[in-house]
Amino acid sequence: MVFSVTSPAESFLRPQPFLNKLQFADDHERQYVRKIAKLAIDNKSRIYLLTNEIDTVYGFIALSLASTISMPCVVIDYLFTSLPYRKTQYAELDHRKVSEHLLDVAVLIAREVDTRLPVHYIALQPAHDKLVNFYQRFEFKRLHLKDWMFLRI
Amino acid sequence: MVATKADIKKDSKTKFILGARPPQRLSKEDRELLLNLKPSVKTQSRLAHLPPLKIVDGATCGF
Repeated sequence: MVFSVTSPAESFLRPQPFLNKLQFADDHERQYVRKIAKLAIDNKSRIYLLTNEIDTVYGFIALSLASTISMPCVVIDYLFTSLPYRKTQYAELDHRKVSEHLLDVAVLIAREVDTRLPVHYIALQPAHDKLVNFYQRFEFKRLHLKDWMFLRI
Repeated sequence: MVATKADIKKDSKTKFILGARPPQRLSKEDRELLLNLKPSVKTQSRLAHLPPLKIVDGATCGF
């Protein structure tokens, strides 16, 4: 199996093609993904898909740019793994899970941007407290007073 | 936290707002934490072993 990171065309992000390519644990997740696709269509976030050679979509990461304390950063707006592929490690991804690989993709993209424009951090807001440990394994640091976590790139 | 113009409402089950922007105003403690963050050696070391990122244009492959 060959994995690729794909930047989808806007037409693919329309609800039917995009949502039909993914599987969700509940309607709650589906609604979040629908909303993030709308942000991407409105050019407020950019989605990168993890796909294979037979057009399976394993998950995606949505990124945008912002600044904090006057320092530019890449924001992870959403990270999603399609239901059947959660908790599975793939040899082709260096024995990592889809979510872990997508985080690597975010760091690589941030570093690429940083070669041309200054980017200091990757920032994210964990959807649940139980995700904090996952991001801490990647050395994201949690602020004391806010819900945000940061990784210095 | 400020929602974007998309006006996505805060979900009651999570703290998460899609499109939310990171805070501009921080406590002195958090500001220092942020300013003193160093790049993650573990991440840099792992990524050094990965091939360069290649991004496929979805328009060329049905996405």
